[in-house]
Amino acid sequence: MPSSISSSNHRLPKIGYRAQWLTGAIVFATLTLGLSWYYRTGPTQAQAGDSVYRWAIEMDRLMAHPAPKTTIAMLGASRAQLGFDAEVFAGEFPDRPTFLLAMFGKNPKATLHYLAEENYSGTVIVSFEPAWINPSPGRARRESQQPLVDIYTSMFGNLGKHEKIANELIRAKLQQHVHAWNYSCWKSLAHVLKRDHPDAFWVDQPSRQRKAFYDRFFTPAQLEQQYGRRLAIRWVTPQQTPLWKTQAAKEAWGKQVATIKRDIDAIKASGGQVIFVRLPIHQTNRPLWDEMVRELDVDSIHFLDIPAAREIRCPDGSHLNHDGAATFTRLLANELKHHLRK
Amino acid sequence: MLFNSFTFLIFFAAVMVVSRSMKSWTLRKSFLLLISYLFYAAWNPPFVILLWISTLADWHLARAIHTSDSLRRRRLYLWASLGINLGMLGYFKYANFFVNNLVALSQSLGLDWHPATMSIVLPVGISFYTFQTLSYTIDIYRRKATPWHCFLDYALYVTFFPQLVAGPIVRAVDFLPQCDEPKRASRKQFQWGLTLMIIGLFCKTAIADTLAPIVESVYDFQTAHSFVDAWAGTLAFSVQIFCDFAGYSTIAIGAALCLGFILPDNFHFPYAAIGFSDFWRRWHLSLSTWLRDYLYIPLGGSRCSKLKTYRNLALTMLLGGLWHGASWTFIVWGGLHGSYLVLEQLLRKWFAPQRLWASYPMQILLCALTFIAVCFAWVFFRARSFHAAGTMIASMTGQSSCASTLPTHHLLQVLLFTGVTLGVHWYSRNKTMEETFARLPGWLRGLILGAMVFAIFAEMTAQGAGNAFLYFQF
Repeated sequence: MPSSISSSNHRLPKIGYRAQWLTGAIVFATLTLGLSWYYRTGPTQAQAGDSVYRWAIEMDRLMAHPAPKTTIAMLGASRAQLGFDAEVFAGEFPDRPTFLLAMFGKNPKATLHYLAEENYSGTVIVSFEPAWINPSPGRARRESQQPLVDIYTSMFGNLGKHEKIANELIRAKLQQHVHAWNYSCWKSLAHVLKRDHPDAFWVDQPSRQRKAFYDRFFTPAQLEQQYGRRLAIRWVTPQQTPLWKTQAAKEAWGKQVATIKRDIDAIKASGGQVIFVRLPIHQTNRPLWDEMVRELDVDSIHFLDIPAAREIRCPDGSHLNHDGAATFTRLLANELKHHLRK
Repeated sequence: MLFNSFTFLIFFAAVMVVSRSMKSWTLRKSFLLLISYLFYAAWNPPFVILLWISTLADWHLARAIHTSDSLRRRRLYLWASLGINLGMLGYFKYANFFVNNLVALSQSLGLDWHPATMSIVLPVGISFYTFQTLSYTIDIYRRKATPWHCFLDYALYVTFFPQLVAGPIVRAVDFLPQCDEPKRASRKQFQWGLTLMIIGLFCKTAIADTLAPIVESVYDFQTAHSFVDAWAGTLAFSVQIFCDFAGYSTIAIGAALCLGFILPDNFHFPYAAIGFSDFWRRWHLSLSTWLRDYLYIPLGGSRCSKLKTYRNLALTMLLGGLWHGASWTFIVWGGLHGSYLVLEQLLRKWFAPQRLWASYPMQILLCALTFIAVCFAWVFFRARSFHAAGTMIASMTGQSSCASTLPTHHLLQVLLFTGVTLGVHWYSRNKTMEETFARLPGWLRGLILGAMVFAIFAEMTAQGAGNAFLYFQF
């Protein structure tokens, strides 16, 4: 009879294991406790780090909601994750369950498309930037939310969902109590700040909001000194006339706009509502935004249209911190009350 | 349930504790069978029914084949077994592929046919357990084995959770005799099993999953890439697929060993292969030996004319490619390996006697050439379409003027992991993993394993639900 087991399977290495396990345990304990000590003595805070799986759980909660028409899906990238305070928003709209589906460094076109395909009938608030309409191939690759949608549909659909959610809960507990202190939190924020300063950090919230803390370690004066050049640009609209440099660029833009418009129209046809929002940033191309929302024929809110929002400072020039996020969310909620479908 | 998840680690620890506390061997086997069904059901409970169908059908058909004296009836029962197993596999894995090709064919003939699309979910591991149960009935048909006397043992053979969803493909003759005698993993077996699980988990979480985003950033976009990016993506995939699949097999072998069961080897440092027949003696051994024993040899193997031998090789590899997935790109991957094997046979005839080829530098050169050819074949395995594969091949052969977009640290990661993988494979090419490990002093093994466990823990806490193993889709 054919056999696929080689004789080597029956051999066990002739070794003693005592030294192996003893050294292994010491090495593991030293590395784990060392890293724990390093993080815990630093300014970072134990938290359950955000991940694609937490995004997928959030999407799963949205899709499984028994009253989809009452739900609000907040889409976007880093500006939305840092600049939208889910707690404040929930206080303003207690009867509208809100799901934060923004993700750092990833534009929300793929998520919008997925919601359109699934005939989503709730409200979609999209923190959007005109630059996402027609990005360079490199940016399109790196900054798509399609991998998140793929993970949700392939791994978090109905198959094995509960096991993965259980796994995520265990992981979150381990992060908070054993290996917590998401290493990347200060590193990534330092990248955003364009300076390797470990004292600036964010704390991931259960809602997936990221509360950014810059001011705890920098006084406004220090920030001005550090980022003065960027902060000096206050709500500037760059002079760019015409909006597109070439006819080809305009046509490429038109094609992409048509694709996004199809998704918006599909959600509207399913009974849903779409609102595009521009969150605070110190440099914004207002004419391009206006052209975009006109072509998309979509309800929109630009922060420059909310006078009080002009006073909020982005400590790094393009992202709100936790204070700014709470203030802006209140302002946005007030504005949304005029836009949201009754 | 994924091996690289906390839920599995808790599940496995609980299984170990409960099974070791059971005194009755039958009770232990029943418990292992029950938790194997639970393990499978964690993904999709209704698909356990498929496992039951396969188990019951082959159990009864194998007995019928054995007891029947009429050749006609024996053949009929064998065809029934093939029909049930390959029918399920065909429906779940190949139905859409078949219909899509039929639609394309009818449209090329001018027929406007648009059948409703079928939403079929591929049951995890169906290709693996189908081949296992098939080998059981075919061996009994060939009178190379007799039906096993205990249904519980047989059901456990089909369902045993460490190897259920991604192999190794175990033969009944290797597994069933292990169920006969009550046994418990010895202390040495348990410790070596645990060591293997750590090594496997490290390969998966620390290497394969680290390289995955680099591979995706190159392969998931069907645009042209720079020469450097294309090679970086392909080398990264070569290492990723090895560490992913060999990692899974190593965890499976280790987990089974902790429970006292021995599973066959599935890999033997394949990237140190010199030539393609050597490669297939090192890569996915349980599949290649299955294809050899149940397809290549029945077709005539090498005991026929040269031309027929080449045909048999090509056919076996084409079907091997199709086994991996319902796509023409997999068939081309298999076809490429088939043609590599044929070419190697031809070249061996002409060049083998020359002493030059046996020299050390020449061996390294041949090994490098084999690896490069294997990498080119991986392009078809990974690419989502022929267009994407063509673009990638063009980029890898320097026919693209694109600038590199991969960050430097990604390139360095690819260089590091590829270099270490190739180095380890070359160093260990004539040794077993046990021999390689036994050469190291205890403190060094501990240092390596401690660092590996730390890397696994750090990656798993950072990564979340765990990335699925690539071979789950096959």
